[in-house]
Amino acid sequence: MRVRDERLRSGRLVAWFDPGDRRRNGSLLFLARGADDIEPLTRIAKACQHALEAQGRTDLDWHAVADVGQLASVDPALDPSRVARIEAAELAMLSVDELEGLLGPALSRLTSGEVQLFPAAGGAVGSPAEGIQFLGRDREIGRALDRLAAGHSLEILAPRRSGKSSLLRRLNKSLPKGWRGIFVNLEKEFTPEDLAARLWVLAAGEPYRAAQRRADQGWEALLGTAVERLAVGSEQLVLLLDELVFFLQNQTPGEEEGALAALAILGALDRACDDPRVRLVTANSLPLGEYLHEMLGLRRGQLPQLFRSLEAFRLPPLDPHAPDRELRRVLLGTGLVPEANEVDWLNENVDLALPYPALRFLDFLASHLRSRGPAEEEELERLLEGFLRRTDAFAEFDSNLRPRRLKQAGALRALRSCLDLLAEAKAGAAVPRGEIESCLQDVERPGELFAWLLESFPVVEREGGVALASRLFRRWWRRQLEEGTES
Amino acid sequence: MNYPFYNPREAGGPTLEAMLVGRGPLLEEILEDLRRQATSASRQHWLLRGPRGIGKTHLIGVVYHRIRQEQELEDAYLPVWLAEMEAYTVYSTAVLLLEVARRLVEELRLAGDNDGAGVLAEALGGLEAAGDDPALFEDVISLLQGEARRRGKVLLVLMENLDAMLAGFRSRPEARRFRALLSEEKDLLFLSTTPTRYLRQLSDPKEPLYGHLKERTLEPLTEKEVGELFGRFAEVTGQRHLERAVGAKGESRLRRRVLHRLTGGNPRALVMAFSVLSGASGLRSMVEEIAALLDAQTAYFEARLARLAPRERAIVAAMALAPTNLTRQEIARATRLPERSLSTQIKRLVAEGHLGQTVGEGGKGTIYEVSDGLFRVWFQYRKGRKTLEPLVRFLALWYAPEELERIHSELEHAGTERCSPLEASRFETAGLQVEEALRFARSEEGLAERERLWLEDSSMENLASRFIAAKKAQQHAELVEVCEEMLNRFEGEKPAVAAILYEKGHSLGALEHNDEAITVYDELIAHFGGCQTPALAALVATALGSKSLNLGYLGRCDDAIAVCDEVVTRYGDRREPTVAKQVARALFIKSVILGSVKKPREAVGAFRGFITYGEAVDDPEFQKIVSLNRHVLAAMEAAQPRRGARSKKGPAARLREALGRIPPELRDAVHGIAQLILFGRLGRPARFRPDQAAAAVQARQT
Repeated sequence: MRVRDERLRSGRLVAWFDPGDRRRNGSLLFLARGADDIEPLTRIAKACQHALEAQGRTDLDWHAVADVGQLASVDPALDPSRVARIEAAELAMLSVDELEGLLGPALSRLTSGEVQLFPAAGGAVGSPAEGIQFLGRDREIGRALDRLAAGHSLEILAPRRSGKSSLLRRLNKSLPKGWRGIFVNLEKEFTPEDLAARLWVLAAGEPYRAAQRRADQGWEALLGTAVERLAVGSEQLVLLLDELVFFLQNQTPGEEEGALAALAILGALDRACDDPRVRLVTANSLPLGEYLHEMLGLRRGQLPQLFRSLEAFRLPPLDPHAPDRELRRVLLGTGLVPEANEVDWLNENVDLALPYPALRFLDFLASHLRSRGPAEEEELERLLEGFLRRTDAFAEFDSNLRPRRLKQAGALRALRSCLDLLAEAKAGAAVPRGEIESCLQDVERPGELFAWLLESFPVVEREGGVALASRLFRRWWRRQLEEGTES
Repeated sequence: MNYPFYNPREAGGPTLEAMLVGRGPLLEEILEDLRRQATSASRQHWLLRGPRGIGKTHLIGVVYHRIRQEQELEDAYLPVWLAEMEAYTVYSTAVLLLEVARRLVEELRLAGDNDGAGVLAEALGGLEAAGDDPALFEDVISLLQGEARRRGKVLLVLMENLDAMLAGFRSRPEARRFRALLSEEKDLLFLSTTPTRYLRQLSDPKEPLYGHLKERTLEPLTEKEVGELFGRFAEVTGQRHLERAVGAKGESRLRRRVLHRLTGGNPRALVMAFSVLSGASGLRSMVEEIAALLDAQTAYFEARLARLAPRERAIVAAMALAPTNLTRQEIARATRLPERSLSTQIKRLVAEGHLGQTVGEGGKGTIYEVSDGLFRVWFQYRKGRKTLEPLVRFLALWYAPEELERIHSELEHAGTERCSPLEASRFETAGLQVEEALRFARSEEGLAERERLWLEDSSMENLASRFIAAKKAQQHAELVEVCEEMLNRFEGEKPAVAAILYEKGHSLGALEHNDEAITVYDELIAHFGGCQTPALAALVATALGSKSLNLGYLGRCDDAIAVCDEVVTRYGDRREPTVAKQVARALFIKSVILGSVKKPREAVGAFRGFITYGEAVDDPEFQKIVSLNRHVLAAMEAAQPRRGARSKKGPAARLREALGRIPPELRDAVHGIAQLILFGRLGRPARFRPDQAAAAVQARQT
């Protein structure tokens, strides 16, 4: 594995110029090293041609570049800062169809005047992923839009660092015409007054300080008026509240007072959203119902209607069929170039089913290769081992297991046996469901526990069996097993 | 002695750049990321980690100045470099933003925008809300957004001691608000630093900021980098005699290694070492510098200590005062705390980054150390110890006892010459360090350590790994150095010597030291030219080809052509593919050189020879190249004027016509090579670069 050699001097360039203003342009340069690149370049050209035909575009031109130092000879208006570079060798192992799938969206971005054509591993390794950095959740976005259109309010549930906030933001941007999305990050708001003031600022455009004074005179009424005003002029309003559970946790301490405060807030939100045009979407790592019940002693029946009917929307691991292409896109965006045998190594060990740890590893790897030079498979193994030893990225799964131990006798051991079995299976292979069920047979309500396993871990049902969706998680779990430490 | 590079905040951009060693790849990574984020929908904030003195402030200083210099970055960012102490006074996100805004006023003034600075300062003066009032947050963020958007730039906040700032956030909700700021506000980008190895607020999955930042750790400098930085200190301060003291060869290389071990590759420690080595007055200044440095850390270390429970504080104090690292049992003895209760406290101290484990994983027998070496020195100093342990150790291990005696008497002499009691006291403190160093140097432990340090030899194994690393990273200067050291160790005419000589010549060529490269190739050819084994014959042929390239660089094209002919004469009848390919290569180079001196007919003749010879090479990969170049030859032949024939078209037009008969996907490549050989388009002999030409040719073939 190495990083892209951007010092290569020549190659072929596909360029787009805005017909209205040629100074606005973008291009993709396929750098060539030698005779071995002839075939890949031919395939790349063919794939791009197919992709452009499919997009109905005829306004891109190909140019031979003998010396990248003289790009102006291609066209004096060509903007060198908007030339994305890829080595032809990076794409050498892909068929025309695969190339079309990979390069088609990039060409489409190019012709939209976008500078970044592929996601970079280090582009969002902690911050919310937006724009090109948002990876492969089209299916979930589609499903969420369908549920909203069917009139449901949703609670997006997933462990921390699974991309809930990013999904919420993308959902906001994906709402169809006539729908209006209002995104509020509740981490910034400490009190119900803050929340009401924020919504009023968004609804009325008043300065925050003035909104704060209004909220001090009655936040519940202000919240209702704000939502009502936000709904005016749109067919549907979607209120996207990130971290609602955190917001409730932050209210009055103590079970009884906390419950009253939570009911007041939820009641106000329920009344504000009591309009067929308004939906609510929230995202939490700890389910709202579970928090209200276990920490505040509130049962489902005590909750306002909106929160009794909130539909749980679990965020599964990234689409198991898409990640390989996504991984390719990330490698291109990061400038990581695997050699032929290392593609197999990557496919066996790294995937984007859990994007956070995978992106962290690839970002670390890219930085390492930049400073230390290329690494062969043995070194990659060592680097991955070191990363898995140090990372806290899987700690959330670990902490998931602990409360389970308190709740159900024998559950922890049974769950661990299931995960051991899944991790010991061949990479990507499914374990017959019967074998998993037999691990859970001594526990009360095994069906419930099995469902919990699917919801809380990167575990999926596949081909009549059960499998780990994430190769990185599998590797991490196996490592724990080998070390004999308590995971 | 106050060196301009000692405090990166005071040093200008050029000084910081001149002193930047070993951080190039990381700097480039940061700048590349900034360029990317300038057009990105996501904002990914950064954190640089590394112990004190490792160069974090230096690096962000370089980033600060680069942004002001590079147009692309300048267009996208407005850097705001917070003062080091500002992190200690922050207790809410709103107060942090207020500090950013105040600093922005200064930055605007520095940039000459006095009107903008005045307006912002006035707006800030009008803010009344309390530090943790959300209204203050809203007011300041909207002011900052306004400033950023008006200029179409992102505010790049360069902030040190992130750990101190996070410690100032007493409540989790405040950390949440900071996280919301990082997630939401696209007008701000934070590049922070921290000296702590472990920061619970970032590493504990239950914490709001867990995994939120893109982190990089600054590693200690390598031995070579220590030498390079030392040389730059000498250059900047005009102390040339020190530049020669630490180098890459012989005795000075040994000194370099010792210096590396003694400073641990820490640039600030190296500055101190440099100061000490510059003489007795340097040593006295160094004592002052260290004392000032320790005083400057007092606020930070006291704040850290204040956050510990009394028993934890006792553990840290015992560790800081102990001469060595300690086991749990030893800590119990030193603190008089029951050993069985220590486990939890030590675990917490390790988790919080106060202690580290040097040996073991936390069980019995594990040896613990104070994580921040400077804390140890600071604590001892605050406890009234006048000797500074690292300085004493450095003096004892660097100098021979007799040299220390001489330095001591110089200090005594200088101290008595000065009248001021303050001055005399400074010389006395410096003398104390030397006395302590002498004591240690003469002790059995000191003698053994000095011997071990100075007598360790760099083995052949080390050289081999350096060779591989340098070759992999294409570090040509390092390769030349390693090759020379290897050649010093080999005797006789072994094949390995030929390979090393070739590598040395090649690296010299890459460094554009063409004359030296030719000398090395000549040495290789003289020693191994008579060898007939395929491997050595191929190596000599390659060396001859490369020599012809170097001659070409120097504009000695006739000599270059003669060397190409020599390859054919020597090896033209060899059929082993490794050798035959080199003969073909020589013919190709000859045609390119002839093209560059405007002898197209001869160039095409040589190219024809390349094809004819190349066709006989038994290597399928090479045949791909030959097959492509047949098209080139056909096109060039068609473009050549036929004797006696009259045509209105010139060779360029004829070449274009000939290209019409070539498969379309090869046209560009064929056109490029043919132009190069027929018209020598890539340059005149005086600045002819055959390697670029060959690279361009190869690329064009695709």
